[in-house]
Amino acid sequence: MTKFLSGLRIEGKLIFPEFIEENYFNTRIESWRNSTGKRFTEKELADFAEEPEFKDGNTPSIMTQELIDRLIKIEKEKWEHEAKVGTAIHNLCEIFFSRQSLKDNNFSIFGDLDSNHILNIFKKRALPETKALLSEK
Amino acid sequence: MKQVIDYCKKLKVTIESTYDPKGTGHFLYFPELSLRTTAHDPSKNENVNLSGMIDLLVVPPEGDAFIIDYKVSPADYWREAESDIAVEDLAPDEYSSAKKRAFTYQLATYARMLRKINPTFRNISVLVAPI
Repeated sequence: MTKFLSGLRIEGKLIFPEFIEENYFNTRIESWRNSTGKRFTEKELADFAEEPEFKDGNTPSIMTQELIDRLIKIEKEKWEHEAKVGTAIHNLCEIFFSRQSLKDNNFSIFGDLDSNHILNIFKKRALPETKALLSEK
Repeated sequence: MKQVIDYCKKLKVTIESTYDPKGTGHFLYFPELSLRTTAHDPSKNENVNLSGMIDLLVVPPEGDAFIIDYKVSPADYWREAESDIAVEDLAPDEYSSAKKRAFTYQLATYARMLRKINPTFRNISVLVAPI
């Protein structure tokens, strides 16, 4: 489906712009290097808050290559983490709704679908890295 | 994670109370439903095999269908809908019009696939559930 949609064109132009990571970061680096204007997005500022250059609400005046590489690495790791959270949320929703029809039919064997019951099923099924997300808010 | 389950409970209640306020009917839920069909690809002028996964299909008692798509993102899905925010003013991590257009096409395609597979559905609605 995604492949089909991403290939759709009108008059030779893609209907949906393709996400190219390199282009994305080139645009972001250009913004980070600007001397004026809003250089970092709110989310970037939150993501980079633990870095020494961003402590106490500061932003770095000089963007070295080492710093740029570090920020890109942080962003990529955040994306990976968000993807895992997304998968875990989908899994939880699947467990919840896969039992709703049965519950509505009064199949009492499935009992009350309280949160702990669903989380236990999730723990049994989830990959170790998504299991760790259970301890997060 | 418990918040997600609470969200699911609210979503279920909202759908059922909106569609069937008297609570007389029986709803069926099909999470992670796989669809497979063929469609015409206008860019190549040929038929292609299409497959996709609906996050949640809800079938109320009256023969309609709801396709529900979870949008899991730290970005605010609805912010772009605010009329006073121009697309170019959105941060790169917010939902752009292109992303929304892709979602719209994706969900509309699911609806057409579903109708092709089961023409008895009376109305097929698509809903985005931002979690």
